[in-house]
Amino acid sequence: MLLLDIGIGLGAGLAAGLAVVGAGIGIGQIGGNAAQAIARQPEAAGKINSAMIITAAMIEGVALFGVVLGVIIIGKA
Amino acid sequence: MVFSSEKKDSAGFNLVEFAMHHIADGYSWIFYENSHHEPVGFELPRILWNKEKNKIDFFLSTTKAIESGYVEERSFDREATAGKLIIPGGAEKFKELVESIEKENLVKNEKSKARIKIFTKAQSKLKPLDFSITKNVVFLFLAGILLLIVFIGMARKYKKNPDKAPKGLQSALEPIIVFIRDDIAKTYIPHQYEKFLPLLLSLFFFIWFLNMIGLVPFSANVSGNFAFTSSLAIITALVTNFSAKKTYWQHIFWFPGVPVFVKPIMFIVELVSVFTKPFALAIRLFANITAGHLVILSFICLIFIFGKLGEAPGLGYGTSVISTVFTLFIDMIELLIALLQAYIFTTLSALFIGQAVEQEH
Repeated sequence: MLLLDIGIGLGAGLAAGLAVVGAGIGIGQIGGNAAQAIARQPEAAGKINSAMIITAAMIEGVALFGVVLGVIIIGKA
Repeated sequence: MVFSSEKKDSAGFNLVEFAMHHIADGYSWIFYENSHHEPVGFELPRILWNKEKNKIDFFLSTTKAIESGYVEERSFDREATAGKLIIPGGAEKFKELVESIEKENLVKNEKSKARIKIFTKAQSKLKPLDFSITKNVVFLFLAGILLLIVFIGMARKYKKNPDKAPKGLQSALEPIIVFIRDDIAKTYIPHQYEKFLPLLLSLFFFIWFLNMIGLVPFSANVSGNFAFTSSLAIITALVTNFSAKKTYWQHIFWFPGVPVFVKPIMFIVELVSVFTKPFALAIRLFANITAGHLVILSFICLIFIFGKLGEAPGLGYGTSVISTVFTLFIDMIELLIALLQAYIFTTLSALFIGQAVEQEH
Protein backbone atom coordinates (compact mmCIF):
# COMPACT_ATOMS: atom_id res chain seq x y z
CA MET A 1 0.00 0.00 0.00
CA LEU A 2 1.26 3.44 -0.82
CA LEU A 3 0.35 4.87 2.57
CA LEU A 4 2.19 2.05 4.32
CA ASP A 5 5.28 2.65 2.20
CA ILE A 6 5.17 6.35 2.91
CA GLY A 7 4.75 5.62 6.60
CA ILE A 8 7.63 3.17 6.72
CA GLY A 9 9.91 5.43 4.74
CA LEU A 10 9.13 8.47 6.88
CA GLY A 11 9.40 6.48 10.09
CA ALA A 12 12.77 4.99 9.34
CA GLY A 13 14.16 8.21 7.95
CA LEU A 14 13.01 10.26 10.91
CA ALA A 15 14.26 7.65 13.38
CA ALA A 16 17.78 7.69 12.02
CA GLY A 17 17.84 11.38 11.21
CA LEU A 18 16.60 12.68 14.55
CA ALA A 19 18.90 10.28 16.44
CA VAL A 20 21.86 11.64 14.52
CA VAL A 21 20.78 15.25 15.17
CA GLY A 22 20.57 14.56 18.90
CA ALA A 23 23.98 12.90 18.93
CA GLY A 24 25.52 15.72 16.94
CA ILE A 25 24.25 18.40 19.29
CA GLY A 26 25.18 16.42 22.40
CA ILE A 27 28.69 15.47 21.35
CA GLY A 28 29.28 18.96 20.01
CA GLN A 29 28.44 20.38 23.43
CA ILE A 30 30.76 17.91 25.12
CA GLY A 31 33.60 18.88 22.81
CA GLY A 32 33.00 22.57 23.35
CA ASN A 33 32.88 22.30 27.13
CA ALA A 34 35.96 20.10 27.14
CA ALA A 35 37.89 22.63 25.08
CA GLN A 36 36.83 25.40 27.49
CA ALA A 37 37.86 23.32 30.48
CA ILE A 38 41.27 22.61 28.99
CA ALA A 39 41.69 26.29 28.24
CA ARG A 40 41.02 27.13 31.86
CA GLN A 41 43.33 24.48 33.29
CA PRO A 42 45.86 23.05 30.84
CA GLU A 43 47.36 20.67 33.43
CA ALA A 44 44.14 18.66 33.56
CA ALA A 45 44.09 18.16 29.79
CA GLY A 46 44.72 14.40 30.03
CA LYS A 47 41.82 13.68 32.37
CA ILE A 48 39.43 15.97 30.54
CA ASN A 49 40.38 14.36 27.26
CA SER A 50 39.63 10.84 28.45
CA ALA A 51 36.35 11.90 30.08
CA MET A 52 35.32 13.55 26.83
CA ILE A 53 36.08 10.48 24.72
CA ILE A 54 34.19 8.14 27.02
CA THR A 55 31.12 10.35 27.20
CA ALA A 56 31.12 10.83 23.44
CA ALA A 57 31.21 7.08 22.87
CA MET A 58 28.27 6.53 25.22
CA ILE A 59 26.16 9.14 23.48
CA GLU A 60 27.08 7.67 20.14
CA GLY A 61 25.88 4.30 21.41
CA VAL A 62 22.48 5.75 22.19
CA ALA A 63 22.27 7.45 18.78
CA LEU A 64 23.05 4.17 17.07
CA PHE A 65 20.04 2.65 18.85
CA GLY A 66 17.99 4.97 16.67
CA VAL A 67 19.86 4.05 13.51
CA VAL A 68 19.48 0.33 14.18
CA LEU A 69 15.78 0.89 14.74
CA GLY A 70 15.61 2.61 11.35
CA VAL A 71 17.22 -0.36 9.67
CA ILE A 72 14.80 -2.76 11.39
CA ILE A 73 11.80 -0.69 10.29
CA ILE A 74 12.96 -0.72 6.69
CA GLY A 75 13.55 -4.45 6.84
CA LYS A 76 10.02 -5.14 8.10
CA ALA A 77 8.82 -4.78 4.50
CA MET B 1 7.30 -3.32 -1.63
CA VAL B 2 9.38 -0.30 -2.49
CA PHE B 3 12.27 -1.10 -0.22
CA SER B 4 12.72 -4.78 -1.02
CA SER B 5 16.29 -5.79 -1.48
CA GLU B 6 15.64 -6.92 -5.03
CA LYS B 7 15.36 -3.40 -6.33
CA LYS B 8 18.21 -2.56 -8.64
CA ASP B 9 19.09 0.84 -9.94
CA SER B 10 19.12 1.60 -13.66
CA ALA B 11 22.42 -0.16 -14.27
CA GLY B 12 21.61 -3.30 -12.28
CA PHE B 13 23.67 -2.59 -9.16
CA ASN B 14 21.97 -3.29 -5.86
CA LEU B 15 23.65 -1.43 -3.02
CA VAL B 16 21.60 -2.82 -0.13
CA GLU B 17 22.11 -6.43 -1.14
CA PHE B 18 25.83 -5.89 -1.77
CA ALA B 19 26.39 -4.24 1.59
CA MET B 20 24.31 -6.74 3.55
CA HIS B 21 26.05 -9.65 1.86
CA HIS B 22 29.45 -8.31 2.88
CA ILE B 23 28.45 -7.68 6.47
CA ALA B 24 26.47 -10.87 7.08
CA ASP B 25 27.72 -14.25 8.17
CA GLY B 26 27.82 -17.07 5.65
CA TYR B 27 28.34 -20.78 5.20
CA SER B 28 31.21 -20.35 2.74
CA TRP B 29 34.26 -18.12 2.64
CA ILE B 30 34.04 -16.18 -0.61
CA PHE B 31 36.97 -14.00 -1.61
CA TYR B 32 35.62 -12.24 -4.67
CA GLU B 33 33.59 -12.75 -7.83
CA ASN B 34 35.56 -13.24 -11.01
CA SER B 35 34.69 -11.76 -14.36
CA HIS B 36 32.09 -14.45 -15.06
CA HIS B 37 30.26 -13.57 -11.82
CA GLU B 38 31.27 -16.83 -10.22
CA PRO B 39 32.26 -16.66 -6.57
CA VAL B 40 35.85 -17.63 -5.83
CA GLY B 41 36.27 -19.22 -2.44
CA PHE B 42 35.57 -22.41 -0.56
CA GLU B 43 32.70 -23.83 1.42
CA LEU B 44 32.88 -24.39 5.13
CA PRO B 45 31.93 -27.58 6.98
CA ARG B 46 28.40 -28.17 8.26
CA ILE B 47 27.58 -29.75 11.59
CA LEU B 48 23.88 -30.49 11.86
CA TRP B 49 21.79 -32.20 14.56
CA ASN B 50 19.14 -34.26 12.87
CA LYS B 51 16.08 -34.12 15.15
CA GLU B 52 14.40 -37.07 13.52
CA LYS B 53 17.22 -39.55 13.77
CA ASN B 54 18.80 -37.94 16.86
CA LYS B 55 22.34 -37.93 15.58
CA ILE B 56 24.91 -35.41 14.46
CA ASP B 57 25.60 -35.15 10.75
CA PHE B 58 28.95 -33.80 9.76
CA PHE B 59 29.63 -32.67 6.19
CA LEU B 60 32.65 -31.02 4.70
CA SER B 61 30.61 -28.56 2.68
CA THR B 62 27.07 -27.50 1.97
CA THR B 63 27.14 -29.19 -1.42
CA LYS B 64 27.99 -32.51 0.22
CA ALA B 65 25.13 -32.01 2.66
CA ILE B 66 22.71 -31.41 -0.19
CA GLU B 67 24.06 -34.47 -1.98
CA SER B 68 23.29 -36.66 0.98
CA GLY B 69 19.67 -35.69 1.24
CA TYR B 70 19.36 -32.30 2.85
CA VAL B 71 17.23 -29.81 0.97
CA GLU B 72 17.84 -26.11 0.65
CA GLU B 73 15.29 -24.10 2.54
CA ARG B 74 13.23 -21.94 0.27
CA SER B 75 11.91 -18.60 1.29
CA PHE B 76 8.89 -17.33 -0.59
CA ASP B 77 9.91 -13.78 -1.21
CA ARG B 78 13.56 -14.42 -1.94
CA GLU B 79 15.51 -17.08 -3.75
CA ALA B 80 16.75 -20.10 -1.82
CA THR B 81 18.27 -18.70 1.37
CA ALA B 82 21.88 -19.56 0.71
CA GLY B 83 22.98 -22.49 2.75
CA LYS B 84 20.04 -22.95 5.07
CA LEU B 85 18.94 -26.55 4.99
CA ILE B 86 16.01 -28.77 5.87
CA ILE B 87 16.38 -32.35 7.07
CA PRO B 88 16.57 -35.19 4.57
CA GLY B 89 13.15 -36.53 3.81
CA GLY B 90 12.14 -32.96 4.30
CA ALA B 91 11.68 -32.65 0.57
CA GLU B 92 8.51 -34.74 0.61
CA LYS B 93 7.13 -33.05 3.71
CA PHE B 94 8.01 -29.76 2.08
CA LYS B 95 5.95 -30.61 -0.97
CA GLU B 96 3.02 -31.75 1.17
CA LEU B 97 3.27 -28.49 3.03
CA VAL B 98 3.12 -26.35 -0.09
CA GLU B 99 0.26 -28.42 -1.42
CA SER B 100 -1.69 -28.16 1.83
CA ILE B 101 -1.33 -24.40 1.85
CA GLU B 102 -2.49 -24.23 -1.70
CA LYS B 103 -5.33 -26.68 -1.14
CA GLU B 104 -6.74 -24.84 1.82
CA ASN B 105 -6.66 -21.85 -0.44
CA LEU B 106 -5.75 -19.80 2.58
CA VAL B 107 -4.31 -16.90 0.73
CA LYS B 108 -4.25 -16.46 -3.00
CA ASN B 109 -1.48 -13.98 -3.50
CA GLU B 110 1.87 -15.75 -3.65
CA LYS B 111 3.78 -13.00 -1.96
CA SER B 112 1.16 -12.17 0.64
CA LYS B 113 2.40 -11.87 4.19
CA ALA B 114 -0.04 -14.37 5.71
CA ARG B 115 1.09 -17.07 3.33
CA ILE B 116 4.74 -16.36 4.00
CA LYS B 117 4.11 -16.54 7.75
CA ILE B 118 2.32 -19.91 7.58
CA PHE B 119 4.99 -21.24 5.27
CA THR B 120 7.90 -20.10 7.41
CA LYS B 121 6.34 -21.37 10.62
CA ALA B 122 5.69 -24.83 9.24
CA GLN B 123 9.07 -24.96 7.59
CA SER B 124 10.83 -24.18 10.84
CA LYS B 125 9.74 -27.54 12.20
CA LEU B 126 11.73 -29.26 9.48
CA LYS B 127 15.02 -27.51 10.23
CA PRO B 128 17.95 -29.30 11.87
CA LEU B 129 19.86 -27.69 14.73
CA ASP B 130 22.72 -25.90 13.10
CA PHE B 131 26.14 -25.97 14.75
CA SER B 132 28.03 -25.39 11.53
CA ILE B 133 31.39 -23.73 11.25
CA THR B 134 30.41 -20.48 9.59
CA LYS B 135 32.79 -17.73 8.56
CA ASN B 136 32.39 -15.93 11.89
CA VAL B 137 33.19 -19.11 13.82
CA VAL B 138 36.40 -19.57 11.82
CA PHE B 139 37.49 -16.08 12.75
CA LEU B 140 36.44 -16.52 16.37
CA PHE B 141 38.78 -19.50 16.54
CA LEU B 142 41.53 -17.59 14.72
CA ALA B 143 41.29 -14.67 17.14
CA GLY B 144 41.24 -17.05 20.09
CA ILE B 145 44.34 -18.88 18.89
CA LEU B 146 46.10 -15.58 18.18
CA LEU B 147 45.33 -14.33 21.67
CA LEU B 148 46.55 -17.58 23.22
CA ILE B 149 49.81 -17.48 21.28
CA VAL B 150 50.51 -13.85 22.09
CA PHE B 151 49.67 -13.92 25.76
CA ILE B 152 50.94 -17.36 26.72
CA GLY B 153 54.19 -16.47 24.99
CA MET B 154 54.32 -13.26 26.97
CA ALA B 155 53.57 -15.00 30.27
CA ARG B 156 56.32 -17.50 29.62
CA LYS B 157 58.84 -14.72 29.01
CA TYR B 158 57.87 -13.14 32.32
CA LYS B 159 58.37 -16.42 34.10
CA LYS B 160 61.75 -17.06 32.52
CA ASN B 161 63.28 -13.63 33.25
CA PRO B 162 61.36 -12.29 36.18
CA ASP B 163 63.48 -9.23 36.88
CA LYS B 164 64.57 -8.18 33.41
CA ALA B 165 63.12 -5.25 31.51
CA PRO B 166 60.55 -6.29 28.92
CA LYS B 167 61.38 -6.06 25.24
CA GLY B 168 59.57 -6.54 21.97
CA LEU B 169 55.89 -7.37 21.97
CA GLN B 170 56.01 -7.63 25.76
CA SER B 171 56.92 -3.98 26.07
CA ALA B 172 54.04 -2.96 23.80
CA LEU B 173 51.37 -4.90 25.65
CA GLU B 174 52.55 -4.36 29.20
CA PRO B 175 51.50 -0.69 29.42
CA ILE B 176 48.07 -1.61 28.07
CA ILE B 177 47.60 -4.36 30.64
CA VAL B 178 48.80 -2.03 33.41
CA PHE B 179 46.39 0.60 32.14
CA ILE B 180 43.46 -1.81 32.31
CA ARG B 181 44.50 -2.92 35.78
CA ASP B 182 44.98 0.57 37.20
CA ASP B 183 42.56 2.82 35.38
CA ILE B 184 39.72 0.41 34.75
CA ALA B 185 39.79 -2.39 37.30
CA LYS B 186 41.17 -0.56 40.35
CA THR B 187 39.11 2.58 39.72
CA TYR B 188 35.75 0.85 39.48
CA ILE B 189 36.30 -2.25 41.63
CA PRO B 190 38.52 -0.94 44.42
CA HIS B 191 38.56 -3.97 46.69
CA GLN B 192 38.48 -7.25 44.80
CA TYR B 193 39.71 -6.32 41.38
CA GLU B 194 42.03 -9.32 41.05
CA LYS B 195 39.04 -11.64 40.89
CA PHE B 196 37.63 -9.87 37.87
CA LEU B 197 40.80 -8.77 36.14
CA PRO B 198 41.08 -11.88 33.88
CA LEU B 199 37.55 -11.31 32.61
CA LEU B 200 38.17 -7.63 31.88
CA LEU B 201 41.47 -8.29 30.16
CA SER B 202 39.96 -11.05 28.04
CA LEU B 203 37.01 -8.88 27.03
CA PHE B 204 39.26 -5.99 26.09
CA PHE B 205 41.75 -7.88 23.97
CA PHE B 206 39.21 -10.20 22.38
CA ILE B 207 36.97 -7.33 21.25
CA TRP B 208 39.93 -5.23 20.13
CA PHE B 209 41.49 -8.02 18.07
CA LEU B 210 38.18 -8.97 16.48
CA ASN B 211 37.38 -5.34 15.61
CA MET B 212 40.76 -4.97 13.95
CA ILE B 213 40.44 -8.30 12.11
CA GLY B 214 37.07 -7.15 10.77
CA LEU B 215 38.79 -4.24 9.03
CA VAL B 216 41.11 -6.50 7.05
CA PRO B 217 39.84 -7.31 3.53
CA PHE B 218 38.53 -10.83 2.91
CA SER B 219 37.87 -11.39 6.61
CA ALA B 220 34.67 -11.78 8.57
CA ASN B 221 32.66 -9.18 10.44
CA VAL B 222 32.54 -10.90 13.82
CA SER B 223 31.97 -8.04 16.24
CA GLY B 224 29.27 -6.67 13.97
CA ASN B 225 27.28 -9.80 14.67
CA PHE B 226 24.58 -9.22 17.25
CA ALA B 227 24.78 -12.82 18.49
CA PHE B 228 28.45 -12.35 19.35
CA THR B 229 28.07 -9.05 21.16
CA SER B 230 25.01 -10.18 23.06
CA SER B 231 26.87 -13.31 24.22
CA LEU B 232 29.59 -11.10 25.68
CA ALA B 233 26.97 -8.85 27.26
CA ILE B 234 25.21 -11.88 28.77
CA ILE B 235 28.52 -13.02 30.25
CA THR B 236 28.96 -9.61 31.86
CA ALA B 237 25.38 -9.67 33.12
CA LEU B 238 25.79 -13.12 34.66
CA VAL B 239 29.05 -12.18 36.36
CA THR B 240 27.48 -8.97 37.70
CA ASN B 241 24.37 -10.58 39.09
CA PHE B 242 25.97 -13.68 40.50
CA SER B 243 28.75 -11.87 42.31
CA ALA B 244 26.46 -9.18 43.66
CA LYS B 245 26.35 -8.45 47.35
CA LYS B 246 23.32 -7.73 49.47
CA THR B 247 23.64 -3.97 49.02
CA TYR B 248 23.11 -4.35 45.30
CA TRP B 249 19.88 -6.31 45.62
CA GLN B 250 18.74 -3.94 48.32
CA HIS B 251 19.21 -1.06 45.94
CA ILE B 252 16.99 -2.78 43.40
CA PHE B 253 14.15 -3.98 45.58
CA TRP B 254 13.97 -1.42 48.33
CA PHE B 255 15.94 1.66 47.32
CA PRO B 256 17.25 3.30 50.49
CA GLY B 257 17.11 7.01 51.04
CA VAL B 258 13.90 7.96 49.22
CA PRO B 259 10.35 8.41 50.59
CA VAL B 260 8.23 5.27 50.70
CA PHE B 261 5.85 6.14 47.88
CA VAL B 262 8.78 6.48 45.48
CA LYS B 263 10.15 3.03 46.27
CA PRO B 264 7.83 1.05 43.93
CA ILE B 265 8.76 3.33 41.04
CA MET B 266 12.44 2.87 41.84
CA PHE B 267 11.89 -0.88 41.94
CA ILE B 268 10.52 -0.92 38.41
CA VAL B 269 13.22 1.41 37.14
CA GLU B 270 16.03 -0.56 38.74
CA LEU B 271 14.62 -3.91 37.59
CA VAL B 272 14.40 -2.70 34.00
CA SER B 273 17.92 -1.32 34.20
CA VAL B 274 19.23 -4.78 35.16
CA PHE B 275 18.20 -5.86 31.66
CA THR B 276 18.79 -2.73 29.63
CA LYS B 277 22.37 -2.20 30.75
CA PRO B 278 23.75 -5.39 29.14
CA PHE B 279 21.43 -4.88 26.16
CA ALA B 280 22.92 -1.42 25.63
CA LEU B 281 26.42 -2.91 25.83
CA ALA B 282 25.56 -5.39 23.09
CA ILE B 283 23.86 -2.88 20.81
CA ARG B 284 26.55 -0.25 21.26
CA LEU B 285 29.34 -2.52 20.04
CA PHE B 286 27.25 -4.13 17.29
CA ALA B 287 25.87 -0.90 15.87
CA ASN B 288 29.18 0.99 15.97
CA ILE B 289 31.12 -1.68 14.12
CA THR B 290 28.36 -2.43 11.60
CA ALA B 291 27.79 1.25 10.89
CA GLY B 292 31.50 1.73 10.25
CA HIS B 293 31.60 -1.17 7.82
CA LEU B 294 28.47 0.07 6.04
CA VAL B 295 29.99 3.52 5.55
CA ILE B 296 33.17 2.08 4.06
CA LEU B 297 31.18 -0.21 1.77
CA SER B 298 28.94 2.63 0.65
CA PHE B 299 31.89 4.78 -0.33
CA ILE B 300 33.30 1.97 -2.44
CA CYS B 301 29.91 1.28 -4.00
CA LEU B 302 29.71 4.92 -5.02
CA ILE B 303 32.36 4.15 -7.62
CA PHE B 304 30.19 1.49 -9.20
CA ILE B 305 27.04 3.52 -9.04
CA PHE B 306 28.69 6.50 -10.68
CA GLY B 307 30.44 4.36 -13.25
CA LYS B 308 27.05 2.79 -14.02
CA LEU B 309 28.72 -0.62 -14.24
CA GLY B 310 30.82 0.23 -17.27
CA GLU B 311 28.53 2.59 -19.12
CA ALA B 312 30.29 5.76 -17.90
CA PRO B 313 33.91 4.78 -17.19
CA GLY B 314 35.23 8.33 -17.06
CA LEU B 315 32.89 9.24 -14.24
CA GLY B 316 33.77 5.98 -12.55
CA TYR B 317 37.50 6.67 -12.60
CA GLY B 318 37.01 10.19 -11.33
CA THR B 319 34.83 9.02 -8.47
CA SER B 320 37.30 6.30 -7.56
CA VAL B 321 39.96 8.87 -6.68
CA ILE B 322 37.72 10.82 -4.31
CA SER B 323 36.08 7.69 -2.99
CA THR B 324 39.37 6.03 -2.11
CA VAL B 325 40.54 9.11 -0.23
CA PHE B 326 37.33 9.21 1.80
CA THR B 327 37.50 5.48 2.43
CA LEU B 328 41.05 5.78 3.78
CA PHE B 329 39.93 8.59 6.06
CA ILE B 330 37.01 6.56 7.39
CA ASP B 331 39.34 3.59 7.83
CA MET B 332 41.55 5.65 10.12
CA ILE B 333 38.52 6.58 12.18
CA GLU B 334 37.53 2.92 12.24
CA LEU B 335 40.89 2.00 13.77
CA LEU B 336 40.22 4.49 16.57
CA ILE B 337 36.67 3.16 17.00
CA ALA B 338 37.99 -0.42 17.22
CA LEU B 339 40.12 0.47 20.23
CA LEU B 340 37.56 2.83 21.72
CA GLN B 341 34.67 0.38 21.61
CA ALA B 342 36.77 -2.31 23.26
CA TYR B 343 37.73 0.20 25.97
CA ILE B 344 34.12 1.33 26.48
CA PHE B 345 32.84 -2.24 26.73
CA THR B 346 35.50 -3.11 29.30
CA THR B 347 35.00 0.10 31.29
CA LEU B 348 31.24 -0.32 31.48
CA SER B 349 31.59 -3.98 32.44
CA ALA B 350 33.98 -2.96 35.21
CA LEU B 351 31.54 -0.26 36.29
CA PHE B 352 28.61 -2.67 36.52
CA ILE B 353 30.66 -5.28 38.37
CA GLY B 354 31.96 -2.59 40.71
CA GLN B 355 28.43 -1.45 41.47
CA ALA B 356 27.46 -5.02 42.26
CA VAL B 357 30.33 -5.90 44.62
CA GLU B 358 30.43 -2.53 46.32
CA GLN B 359 30.50 -2.86 50.06
CA GLU B 360 28.30 -0.95 52.46
CA HIS B 361 29.72 2.49 53.13
